[in-house]
Amino acid sequence: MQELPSKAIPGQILAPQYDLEDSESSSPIIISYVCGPGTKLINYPTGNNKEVSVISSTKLGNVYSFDIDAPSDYEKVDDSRQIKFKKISVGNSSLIRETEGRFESNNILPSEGDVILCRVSRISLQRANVEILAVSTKNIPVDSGVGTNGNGTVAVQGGSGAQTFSVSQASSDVGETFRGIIRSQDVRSTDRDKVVMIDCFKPGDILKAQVISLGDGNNYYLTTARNDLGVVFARANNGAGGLMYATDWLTMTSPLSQVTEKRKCANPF
Amino acid sequence: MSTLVIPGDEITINPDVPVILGPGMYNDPVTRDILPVNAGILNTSNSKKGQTIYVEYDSKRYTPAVGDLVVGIITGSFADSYRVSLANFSTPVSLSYMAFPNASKKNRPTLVIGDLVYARVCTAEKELEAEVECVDSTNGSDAGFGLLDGGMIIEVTLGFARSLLFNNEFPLLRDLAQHCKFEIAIGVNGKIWIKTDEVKDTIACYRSISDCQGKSYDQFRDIIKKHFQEVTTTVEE
Repeated sequence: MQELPSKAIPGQILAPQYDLEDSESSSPIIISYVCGPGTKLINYPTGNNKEVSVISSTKLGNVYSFDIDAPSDYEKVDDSRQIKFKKISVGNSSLIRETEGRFESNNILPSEGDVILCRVSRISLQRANVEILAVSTKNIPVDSGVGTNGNGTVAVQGGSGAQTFSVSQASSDVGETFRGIIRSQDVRSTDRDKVVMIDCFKPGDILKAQVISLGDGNNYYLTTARNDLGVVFARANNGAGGLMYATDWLTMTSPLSQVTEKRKCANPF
Repeated sequence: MSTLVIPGDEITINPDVPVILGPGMYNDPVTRDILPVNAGILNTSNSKKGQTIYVEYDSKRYTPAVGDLVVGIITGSFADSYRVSLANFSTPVSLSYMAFPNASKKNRPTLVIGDLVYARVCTAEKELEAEVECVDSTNGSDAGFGLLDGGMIIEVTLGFARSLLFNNEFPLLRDLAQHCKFEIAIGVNGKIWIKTDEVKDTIACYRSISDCQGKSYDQFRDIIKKHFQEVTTTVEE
């Protein structure tokens, strides 16, 4: 088995995709390396028109390797082979060690299908403009990871069923965050043409939304057309009143001032 | 009952009766206090629904409110609406192509940029662009709305425009009618459209209406007479 280098420069080859681990037993243990942040799987040409799959670094930084479970798309071929999976990551931040090679920085780019938290900056009749504040870091099934087995609720992934969010370090005060658009037809799944935007969102609301498209250079395109998406936090009277709580998917009420306002709310459970 | 108030003054309200707040009044969302936020004359009155409280104040900057009748100028045309300006340097409002009598997806209204329209404000939310319409959506009538052809616009203060439109005792229009025949459209955004057969009459009307702002009722007749005499003597020379 080859030793991984401790530091890498961009383009440096770190390991082949498959390697054998030295072991005293007769059946060898295969190590399958998986790409983490800062690495890429490439086909490296060796002589004689042959190519070999290797993991190479894309960044300048320290090299980390972590044992991981089999990836979801792995099918066991036969029992005689023992395969270990390791994730190789290259980077500089301590977050790599803390998250065991999954994440490199707190700035995670939203990608299609990610659930994000955002704040409404402006509404118009056809769309709502938002600033993206945080990106969900786990892929959680639509029921928010809460399985129903008859007696109460059980988190599918064991432990807290709540989503964890990676908060963007970009400051929204100076407009550094990514921007998104929620079109009026993407606000809810029923009666999509008859959406009255003022009854769904107001400027200053915090929403949970899902990315449907990376969009153009200026805006991501988002949707709230699901039961668990929509307004999460809002203040009454555009921020002058107290915090409001959702009573049903169309209404929020503030216990302090007893005002009721219309919003498209996210189901908190 | 009417008293002079300035913003923040304490006002006495009957706590047992429902309160309906009009322009110039504010309900603090946290402390639930009712305060005037404009300086003017406080008007309170009682009706079946409860007590109505509002402040009668004059100003020059118009803020759209639902139900107002306004004179606007078309400054742009888009895929499904016109952009209309109700006041210089204010946010423009939108006039949908479907907000006209006998509107359909097939026939578009024939208004162009620069046209004057008489319209009614149909939505005016703080967070959105306001919308106006050329047909009254509450009762289906289209009387008086639409294109204002020719004529001239006089800019006045909002209080003066409201008096002209709503106060039947206001003598200005009656006194003006003694001197010439005219067609008039009064917008509560402080824009008055006037049209007469002759240019000199239009100029005299313009000057009269502008000068009558801030004057007492008995001075109107003399001001109007003076302007009409001026334009007649100037022409004859």
